[in-house]
Amino acid sequence: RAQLVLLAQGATQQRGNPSSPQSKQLKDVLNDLSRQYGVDILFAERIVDGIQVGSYATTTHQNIEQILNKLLKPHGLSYRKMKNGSLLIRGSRTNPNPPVSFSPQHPGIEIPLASLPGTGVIASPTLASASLSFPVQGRVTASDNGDGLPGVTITIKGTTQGTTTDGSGNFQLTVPGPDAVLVFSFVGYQALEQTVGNQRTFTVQLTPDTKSLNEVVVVGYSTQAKRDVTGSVSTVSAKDLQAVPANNVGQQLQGRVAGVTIGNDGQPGGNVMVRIRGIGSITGGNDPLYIIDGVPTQGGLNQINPNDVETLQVLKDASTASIYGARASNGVVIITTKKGKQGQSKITYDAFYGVQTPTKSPEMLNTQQYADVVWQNYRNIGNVSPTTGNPVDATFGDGAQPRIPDYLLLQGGAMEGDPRVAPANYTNNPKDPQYGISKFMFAQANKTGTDWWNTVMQTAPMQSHNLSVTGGNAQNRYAISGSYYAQDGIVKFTSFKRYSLRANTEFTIKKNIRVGENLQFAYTDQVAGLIRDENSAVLAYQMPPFMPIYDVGGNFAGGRSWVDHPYTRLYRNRDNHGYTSRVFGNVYAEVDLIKDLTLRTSLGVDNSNWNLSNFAPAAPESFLLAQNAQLQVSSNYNLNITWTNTLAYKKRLGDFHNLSAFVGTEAVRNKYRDFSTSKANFAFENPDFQYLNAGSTVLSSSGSGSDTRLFSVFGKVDYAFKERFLLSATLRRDASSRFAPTYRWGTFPAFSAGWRLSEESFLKGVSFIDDLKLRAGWGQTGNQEINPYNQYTTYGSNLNSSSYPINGANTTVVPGFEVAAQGNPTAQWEAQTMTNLGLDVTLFKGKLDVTLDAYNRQSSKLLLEIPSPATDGQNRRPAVNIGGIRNRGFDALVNYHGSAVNNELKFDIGLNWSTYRNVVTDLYGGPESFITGFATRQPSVTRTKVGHPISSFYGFVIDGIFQSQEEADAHPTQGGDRALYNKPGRFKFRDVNGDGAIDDSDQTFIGSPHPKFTYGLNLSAQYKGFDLALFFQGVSGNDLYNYQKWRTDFQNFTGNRSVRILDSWTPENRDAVLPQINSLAAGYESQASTYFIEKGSYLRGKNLQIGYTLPTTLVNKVKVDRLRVYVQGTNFFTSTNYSGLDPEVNLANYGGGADRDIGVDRGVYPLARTFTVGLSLTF
Amino acid sequence: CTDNFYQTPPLGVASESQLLTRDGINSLLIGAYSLLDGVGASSDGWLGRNEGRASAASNWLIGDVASDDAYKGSTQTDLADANAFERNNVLPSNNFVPDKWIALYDGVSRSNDVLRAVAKTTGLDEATATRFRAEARFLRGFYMFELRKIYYRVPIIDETMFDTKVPNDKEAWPFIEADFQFAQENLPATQTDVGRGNSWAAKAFLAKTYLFQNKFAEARPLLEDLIANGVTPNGLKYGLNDCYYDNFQISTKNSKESIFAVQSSVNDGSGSSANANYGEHLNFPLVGPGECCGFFQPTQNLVNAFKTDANGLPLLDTFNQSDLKNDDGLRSTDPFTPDETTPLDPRLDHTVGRRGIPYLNWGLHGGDNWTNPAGDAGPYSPKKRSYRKEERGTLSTTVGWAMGPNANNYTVIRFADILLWAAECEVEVGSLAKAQEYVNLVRNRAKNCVVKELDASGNETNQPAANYQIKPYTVAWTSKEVARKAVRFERRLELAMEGHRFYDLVRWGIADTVLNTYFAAEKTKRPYLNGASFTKGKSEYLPIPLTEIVNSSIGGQNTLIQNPGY
Repeated sequence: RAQLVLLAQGATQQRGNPSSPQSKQLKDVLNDLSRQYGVDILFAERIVDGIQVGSYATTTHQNIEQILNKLLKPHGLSYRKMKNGSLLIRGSRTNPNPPVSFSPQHPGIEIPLASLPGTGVIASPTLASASLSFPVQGRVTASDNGDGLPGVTITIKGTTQGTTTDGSGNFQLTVPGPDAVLVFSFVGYQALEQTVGNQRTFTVQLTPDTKSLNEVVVVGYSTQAKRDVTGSVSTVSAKDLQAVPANNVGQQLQGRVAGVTIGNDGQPGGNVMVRIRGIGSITGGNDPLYIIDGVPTQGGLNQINPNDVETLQVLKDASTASIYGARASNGVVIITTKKGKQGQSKITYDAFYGVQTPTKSPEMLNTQQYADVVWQNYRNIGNVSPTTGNPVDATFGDGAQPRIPDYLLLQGGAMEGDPRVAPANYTNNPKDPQYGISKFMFAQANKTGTDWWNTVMQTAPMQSHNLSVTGGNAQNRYAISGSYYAQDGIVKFTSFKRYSLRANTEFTIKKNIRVGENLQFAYTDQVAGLIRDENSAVLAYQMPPFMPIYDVGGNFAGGRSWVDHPYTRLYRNRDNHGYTSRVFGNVYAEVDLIKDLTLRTSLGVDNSNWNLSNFAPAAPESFLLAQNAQLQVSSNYNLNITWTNTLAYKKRLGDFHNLSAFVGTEAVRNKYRDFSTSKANFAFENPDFQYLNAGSTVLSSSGSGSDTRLFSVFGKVDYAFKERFLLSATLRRDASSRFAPTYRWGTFPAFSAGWRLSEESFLKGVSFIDDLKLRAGWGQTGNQEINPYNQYTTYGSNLNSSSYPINGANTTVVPGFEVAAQGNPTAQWEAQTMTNLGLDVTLFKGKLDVTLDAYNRQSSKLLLEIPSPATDGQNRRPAVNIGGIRNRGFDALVNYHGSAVNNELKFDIGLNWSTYRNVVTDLYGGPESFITGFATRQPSVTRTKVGHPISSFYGFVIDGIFQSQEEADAHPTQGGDRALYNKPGRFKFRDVNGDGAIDDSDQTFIGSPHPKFTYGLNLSAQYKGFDLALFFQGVSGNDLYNYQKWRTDFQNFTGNRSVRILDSWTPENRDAVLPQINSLAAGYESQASTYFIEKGSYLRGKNLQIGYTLPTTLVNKVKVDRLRVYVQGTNFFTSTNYSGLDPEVNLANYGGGADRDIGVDRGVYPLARTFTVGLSLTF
Repeated sequence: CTDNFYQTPPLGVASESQLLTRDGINSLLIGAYSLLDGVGASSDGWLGRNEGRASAASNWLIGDVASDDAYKGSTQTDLADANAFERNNVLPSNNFVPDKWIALYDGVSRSNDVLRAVAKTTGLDEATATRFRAEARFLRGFYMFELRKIYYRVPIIDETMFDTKVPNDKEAWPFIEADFQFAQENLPATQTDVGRGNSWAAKAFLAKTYLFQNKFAEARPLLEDLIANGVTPNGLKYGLNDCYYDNFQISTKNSKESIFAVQSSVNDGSGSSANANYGEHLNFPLVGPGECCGFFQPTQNLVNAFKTDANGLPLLDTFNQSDLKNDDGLRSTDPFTPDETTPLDPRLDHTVGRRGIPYLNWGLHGGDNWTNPAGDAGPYSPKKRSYRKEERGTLSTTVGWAMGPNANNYTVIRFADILLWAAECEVEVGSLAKAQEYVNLVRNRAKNCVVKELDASGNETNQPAANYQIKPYTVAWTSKEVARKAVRFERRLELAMEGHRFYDLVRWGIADTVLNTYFAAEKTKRPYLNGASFTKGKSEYLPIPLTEIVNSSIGGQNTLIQNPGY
């Protein structure tokens, strides 16, 4: 890992202090060493100022430690290796530095020392001698590890007086009086002020300043000082990420980065969808590329232990991402895991335990209300007995009022005394010859109503334990961790567990050769509920309330809707574990070939194996489930090998020119296989028997595979002139096996430039501006996420769809072939061009950071699988390069670092805000063509069409409810059936095209799932040992399509209804939200319409954490370096007008093509509210 | 990296060149046959929407529920999209409209794949190549025939088109005739596999194609040839089975009466019921075979049609003036005795499951419990696609949730069809006496096997289960009108619940009068039919699926136009 951050590079101006050719300024030598060895060397200028050293031999193969010893010792200086690997130059311990004062023209400048103009150092102290003066002393430590901080500058505010701490962090100083304010400052740490008062001894903790401009970011095959970055890169600290208790770093990323939208799936082990700067592809996939320790992966974050993450960077624009070329059009997330560092070995234990509770529950009808609605419907549709005028119903009798039955047979009810429900006539065996004749399956009706929601929901625990050991010396560095994460779902019988082990090591085996590895093994165990429509959570409010859980025989009661009820479904799924084991990591070697030139080679591996055993016991109470136990075992194997070679060169040319460049090659190979086998007829149903061997009949067996390759060459040049002008150029060429030879290669260039205005003379005098940089970038990236064999026409054999018993046999079938895929040998890369304009400002002595970015992201040549007309038959059209989509947006990030109460209270406020406007610019077949989302029980409710954003809602407009027959008569014919739909109490559909008839051509765009803007607000504060973190996140201005209303608000299927249906139209209740209850009209009236559109804005209190770090003095007694405990609430507050379970339905993880279906609430696994306690222990 | 690095051919599938052999083409042909059942076509949608309910080979929904023979069944809230078919008011956006279209065009496409493969294959002997071509064109003719019959304005897709976005502005009948003509000229009379089309089946379809255009003169000689000389693919001389019920039994499938049938297999290693009559999976009583789901219930009107007069002849004009006694509104526990006196055509109880009459050998139909106690579509169950008790689990499915699918064939054309078509031709362009002769052949056969009563222990007795009376017409028909009415009525009785009724009404041009008369009476028994009506000039055909019109767009212009009235 080559570092090129030059904290020591402040001395760019010659100070007119010529030195002999044989001698150099120590400062310059240190700068050279820093560059040469890739090591940060930190020093206060005044310590080294004026010290001349003889030339040192660069040809001798000494390590930097030896050189420094040689250089520094004669001058009474020494160095110390810091935890982050940098070297701090300090005065000799035996020769404490005298107090110093600063020149008056720079009063109170606190950071960074090294950037002070060299003339600002005055060697001879001028102590103030006021009569009230008295000495104080103290120690300065680092808050992150408790170590004493040497070299910290302490000044008395408003004066030029001050001192620095010694090697242990101790200091002493004479102050003019109790009103004096001490300012503690140190490079890389946040400055701190403290009033002296009556205190004579001070213990001061400085907090690392992660937001500092000196931050290093990983930008793809290399690192760069953040201040020199010319593209759009966002960084999230591990601390912020890990503040959210989640199994997945993607979930932790939500709301943290401007321009990054995250969709959560609330189930344990649920995945996430990450979208960076809008949506750039329609069918080609929109997941970003993840680079973990240099190894690419397209997902599967569940197997990555979030505690191992050290840094996370998001490359948002093309000028930074294009170094990843063909796979970078959706942005790149770069994750670096924790590495060992030279220094003391450290053991860290982090743990939390949390309790998750469901938040919102749907309001549904009770048994009586349900029966009344059934009766109301019968009367409204005229389904009444001609003799009595009353409805007749198998369950609810034939009276004027519905009769709640005492018992439920599988179909219909019965009263006490009915011979069918005599206990002796009960059977649970549908194969009983007398079944349905004299033997019946029956249950006692729940007359008050079963609360199905609360039956399947629970308060569930989650916990995480993480133990890590880090340490190392100059030759060997290691970081080893093990973790356990376990989460039960708030939906019963769902759970996720992860066990992971990581070993990251690096060895300096020769002065110029380093080898190392980063390797993680993870094992996860998931019991998942179903997702999508008709999952168990949704069934919970679709089940009629009169159904009990168990029947009179103690077996599961049968479903009135002919399905199993939700509790049964979950219970029967409880032992269906899906196991994944995954090895992820790389081994690498780095060789410094000559000065400034480093060769690196890395071999990455990502190998995962998944196995799911899905046992479905016989379900005698349900018609819709198998009557024989069945077992399906599915497995897949995925191997990804990445071999990367880079040659990197860094050179500082003179004092003005800074050049770094690298070239590289990368080869990626992916192999995939899967199979699935199912068998039936299991003699027993206990888990020990749930193996394929135990079944007697093979039902089916299938399997497939793929093999894809990618090869790339790439290079990048960064050039800086006097820190003022920054230029960067990237070129990558990729070749992919997914494309035919002619179109195999894609070229992806990028350029960017930065102009540091704060270095210009016209801004130099503006004291409140610390740093001001304008950035501009342009680049192209690609996308190849199509069927790997898109170029080939293939034929497949399938026992279901292409085989036929042509010989007339009853129980065998003759296999045949069908076209499996039609190939497109002319497909090529999706292309994307992005322009980015950015501004980075640091103001008020580092207190305020602002980053603004505006971008235009144009995708073209989109690989679309054009909807085939059915006349194509099975010759489904392959993906072709037609289509474009544009995202324009704006990201803003504002951070304020403040302090109060004599610096004892420190706080940070961070606000990120982003907006994008998405529009489809080109589709096949011209402006009228469109692509739909997925059909549910309704046909697709979204359309992706030119001139509209992707996944816009499409349907009818409802203009209220007809109040009179006259009004209905005056309206155009609805649905071709005036007798049914042009009636008082019916929905009034708008004649959008004005043709005098309401038909399908009256559908129109009725909403957009894209928010006007999204935002995140981070507040954190520290006071003495206490710390507080508060995090809000929200979206505003989006619509949601509440598909759940199709089931709960209309007479579709026989499940329960929402209490909204009580506000249906009647002649007495004209101001109703729903039309008159009528099952005949329900199908028509529940077509996609504005009735389902709701506002989706929400503000969510995502995280509130209060921590306390025990005093070092206390914990040191038990040999503990640091102990922090905390309590925390997650999703503790939600403000929304959305009536569904959770407004976070956007981007829920439905798999491929979900971007054409965003904002449709198919029934989410709701997010839990979580209360957590945790601790972090270092020793 | 060399080019070899990128050469990664698809795994587990074949390339076209691998299939350009005799065996390869045969397997493509099997693939083309496999869509005859309407299940297994490529379809969009993550719910796996096309489960064959609306695309079943038997056309139960679009051909019988849409007619006066059957209700959709179950409850109005169950599969509500299907209600519109019963009301003859189907919107182009209805979820079920595309299903049949997709299945049939997939069949056309697979047939064309065979033709393309034959053209590309070298070294195939001419006889084999011709047979392949003829079988492919036979199948394409079948799929196109169904399309024309159901959707009217249908684009014609042949093997030369890769881009199938072509307009639907041409009459498809000549194309269909040409395919069947080629097939009848080039197919062998017998085949190694009983499921394949032979020259006689092609001739029968050609005759059917003529009939649908009222080309009686062209159809008549073909039908006479079929009656005189036709043989099944396995060499059986065409004829009526002695027993009417043998047309609906697994053990007697592919009989001499089976001109062309969709073959079914079950428990065949496919892991599903896709090769069984899966499109029918909802159409079984809740007790006995299937256990699901009470769809496709015969109408009261149909049941009434089976009443006969004292001479054993149908009540052509008065059949619906009174209802045959039934258990509508009764619980299974309420006592009920079926009608024992009204003279009935014995085919009633081979067609309709009704309370108190044996349901095959599953015991007496139990009424309410068997249909759907929550249902609102009357007391009857369908019967012709069922299976016998001893076949359960061997010849009926053991897989999935719907337990009804079984190895029973759907016979697309059976010999009785041919006879009755011939009768129609005679009425229109021939001799009324000859027509009556054909009709009487069918009626005489119907006498042979009747449903028998069960004794106390559930065993079959020799006693008929009802007062069955059926006799041939003995009085000569006096006019074309009388003869036409009798022939058409016979077709209804003989082929009830076999998916033909709606299309017969349409081709006879009487769908509006028959169905609107039917609705007027039936809505008093089935209140949910209130407001239902057949619109002449519109309801004869389903609309072109909305998604297809939308997908047909080229440069913003829809290639397909909608059917009249929609």
